[in-house]
Amino acid sequence: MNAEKIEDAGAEAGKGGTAPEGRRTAADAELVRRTLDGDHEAYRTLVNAYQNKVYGVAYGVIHNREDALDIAQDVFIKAFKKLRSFRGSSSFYTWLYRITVNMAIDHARKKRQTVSVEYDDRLLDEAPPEGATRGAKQANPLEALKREELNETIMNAIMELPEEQRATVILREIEDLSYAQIASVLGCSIGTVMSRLHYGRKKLRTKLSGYLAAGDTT
Amino acid sequence: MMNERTRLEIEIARYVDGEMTQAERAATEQRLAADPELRRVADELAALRPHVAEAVSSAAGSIDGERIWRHVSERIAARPSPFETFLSGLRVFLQPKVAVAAVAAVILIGLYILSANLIGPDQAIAAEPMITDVEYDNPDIVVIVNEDAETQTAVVWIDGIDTSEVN
Repeated sequence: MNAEKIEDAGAEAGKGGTAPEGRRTAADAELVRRTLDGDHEAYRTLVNAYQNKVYGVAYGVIHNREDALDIAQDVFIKAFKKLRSFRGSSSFYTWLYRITVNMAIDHARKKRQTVSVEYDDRLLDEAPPEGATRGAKQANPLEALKREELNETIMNAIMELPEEQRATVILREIEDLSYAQIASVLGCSIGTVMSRLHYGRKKLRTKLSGYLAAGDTT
Repeated sequence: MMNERTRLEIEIARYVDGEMTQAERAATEQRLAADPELRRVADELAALRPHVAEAVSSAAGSIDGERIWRHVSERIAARPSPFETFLSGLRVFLQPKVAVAAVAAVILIGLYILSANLIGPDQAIAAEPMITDVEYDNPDIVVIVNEDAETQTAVVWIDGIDTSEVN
């Protein structure tokens, strides 16, 4: 990847505090206020707006679709019950991410304690969701196979990270949060975020060195 | 203690993540141009993101949004259990303002009970002037206590003799 691409990636990534984000925060605050006034449809709008993100973060941390879905549901129920305690010092989605990450990490820890060896088995057993790779397979079966193998390698590498590092990497790489936003979600300093990102990514780079060094971006 | 290499890599990550000021970016770009090893790190970090995003989104699949809302709406519409109601009440009570008000109320009630016990029997009658019935405390003695609202006079009849006192 050349310097121009890196610059683009960086500029794209660092969009914390932008005008659209401000508008989103204001719109969310209004929906929260209406929800507190008893308007369930307002809460439905919030659920619709964030369910994919909540599910994505939960899945990134625990890597199990059914459990991630359960967690997503529980996150929205818990958020609803605690909505009065949401003081608006952070944005609604940051607050929602905090609940999600905490619940997902708790779940992952409990699972690790009870079924420590099941993850790897499940990673192998769990078929990709229908349609996830079907298009690619039809276009180029060999390419699709390589992609599947790479995805599996990445997911295994992510699951080997400690939960906090894993959550930090997911919030950065998938959810595109800034360091300050991640620190707010995880309740830690920006220095801790940088440190977790560094060590988490370093492990991923080591595991994926063959793919990354060869410039394989398929 | 963080070594120099780690510190440099964290700086490169800040660059790739768009967490630098313009001046920092310019300085880092100069350094990247002069250091192929750092350039390799920057390239790998930049390449990592689409790989991770693709892997997670592919494995996660899509979700049934209606299923989530259906479950959530059922739960938030349900009446809270007695235990949840108790906990909720307890939480309200534990709010500082409510707790102070509750303690103040208890103190006021305590003072009221204390003052009621300190006043004498005559004052007690005066304090409870609404007794207007004929009382048959003893078959030989008929006590009739009336209240005159304007004069606050208790009229007590014992065996047909008026023994009332003017308060």
